[in-house]
Amino acid sequence: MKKILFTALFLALLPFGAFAAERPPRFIDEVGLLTEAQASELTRKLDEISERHRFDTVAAVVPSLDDREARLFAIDFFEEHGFGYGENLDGAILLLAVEERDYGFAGYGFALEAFTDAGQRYLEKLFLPHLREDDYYEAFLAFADGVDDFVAKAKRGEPYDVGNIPLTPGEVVTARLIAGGAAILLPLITALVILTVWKRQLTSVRKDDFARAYLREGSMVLTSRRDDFLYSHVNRTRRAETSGGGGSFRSSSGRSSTGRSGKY
Amino acid sequence: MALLEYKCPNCGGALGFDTSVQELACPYCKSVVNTETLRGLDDALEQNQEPESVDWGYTGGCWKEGEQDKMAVYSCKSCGGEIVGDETLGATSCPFCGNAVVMTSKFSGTLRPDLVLPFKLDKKAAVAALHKHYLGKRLLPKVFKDQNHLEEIKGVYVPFWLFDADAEARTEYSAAKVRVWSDSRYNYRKVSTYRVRREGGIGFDAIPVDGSKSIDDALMESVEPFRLGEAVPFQTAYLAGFFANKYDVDAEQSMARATERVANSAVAAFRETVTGYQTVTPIGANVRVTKGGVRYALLPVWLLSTRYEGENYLFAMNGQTGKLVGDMPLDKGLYRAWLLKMFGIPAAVLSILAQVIVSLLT
Repeated sequence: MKKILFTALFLALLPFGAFAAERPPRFIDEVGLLTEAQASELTRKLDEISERHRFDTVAAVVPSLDDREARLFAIDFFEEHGFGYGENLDGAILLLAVEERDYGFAGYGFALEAFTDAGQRYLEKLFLPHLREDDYYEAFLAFADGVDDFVAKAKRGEPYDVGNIPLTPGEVVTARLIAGGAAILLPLITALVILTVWKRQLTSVRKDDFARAYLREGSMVLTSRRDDFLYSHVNRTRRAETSGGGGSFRSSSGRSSTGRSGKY
Repeated sequence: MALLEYKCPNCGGALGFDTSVQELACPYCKSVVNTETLRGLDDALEQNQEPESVDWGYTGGCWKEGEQDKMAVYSCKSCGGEIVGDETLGATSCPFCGNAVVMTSKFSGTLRPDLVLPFKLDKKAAVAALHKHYLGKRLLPKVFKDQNHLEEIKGVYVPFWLFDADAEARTEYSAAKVRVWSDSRYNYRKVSTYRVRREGGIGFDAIPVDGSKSIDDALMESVEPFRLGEAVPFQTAYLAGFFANKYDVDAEQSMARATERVANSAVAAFRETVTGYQTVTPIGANVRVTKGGVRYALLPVWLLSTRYEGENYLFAMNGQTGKLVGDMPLDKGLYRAWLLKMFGIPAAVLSILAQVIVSLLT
């Protein structure tokens, strides 16, 4: 009986084991940004998160996007390399293209639930500051931790979305500074404005450079009135975007996916 | 020097101009004398004038050269007291007997004013206006308000030149219309620039320019406007009981200031006809006075002076409209105290509140 059970268990695990053996590691570095030790540690972390949530969490670095949109390139890369759990290919990828400093985040399956538009903007805030400082290892670790947190929240039925997005530590510091500054500046400006008005009340001797009071009623006559157009100028400025384009889109295979693109 | 005093026909007391009844009144027997009837009296008195200077036979020390240039000495007809004033002094009261005296020679011949605007408000009104002026001034030293030691209050007929002017103005402005719109990718801002020209005529009546060097021009412009439609032909009777000066800045010297005010007002008036633009910047103006006239007038001003911490503070009140002006001292201690109250305490409370709110939100 024990032998039968062992054989059944072996057979059940065989396809997964065979798949795992064929599939590339969850961190793919075509440029060599990270050291071997960093790559190994990052891969270990991505594997642990992916297996725990059954949600493939992938990081990749490529030289360029070949003129494609970063999130589209990322999701195609994800699919072409055989990532994704189950028939919905549950999982997400953060891909960097170092030549143009592009990044693309994209996901399939459960990612559409776990990563709302507002949530994706929050996820960006977690890894983007590290990317901007070329601290790639920390950026990928922050991405991995973020995915772990996002998926866990979504599984509890509370995905990060408008209304429950926490502030990043940097934003908390900024909020404290702004609130502190406003608490000082607001009363200071108010006090100075009021005191200036009060101070001006003490001064009433001023030259009158006009003679409006002595204008003869009805004496003003316009004999010529010309308004000549000279030239016009149109100034065009690109509308502000938070970082990159984001939201739902379709991959090259036609699957529904979600993601964002941007520069770091 | 010719002096003119108005004696009460009833009791012989010195008459003064009463602002409440707008006539000469006797402060002793309360008789009111019609100013019109005194026109003839002016002439009669002037015909009986004594020589301008009196030789009192004093052979004491001599004035140094130039020392007397701007000084004039008068003798009071009532008590014989000697009144020393500057050469522009036209009316005053005798420091010995208090009689109102008018130096008619300062207002005769070509020096005779065309108009006088009689005082409408008296000394009490001036003091009341000063007290009202103090009200609501939170940074005024309390001692300044409370002590209220007015050193001098005097009603002065200030010499003014009144300029009538018709002017032609050519003004030019750079003006811009701004339109803003957006599409899905861009924000657009279109600025259309125009050159705007306005030409025309404009007229002013009786722009007053202070004709006295001893009174600050800014102070006099601050008590404006005067309603000059109420001015009457000059009579010395109106000066009784008040101080008066003859001009020592002539019409020609005053003309520049009048022209400047005409030009500024013309440019401002034509600017108001430039409408429909978001920005309008004057780039040129040419204002030419085509027709002008000038009259000499005495206008009523109450001057009130006080001292505080060694500084003189002078207030002036329009004797016709009651508009009172005058710069006052700042209490630096009060300023700092209010700054602490309005900034320090709220800032401390708000700082704590702000940090608590941020903590609750994170």
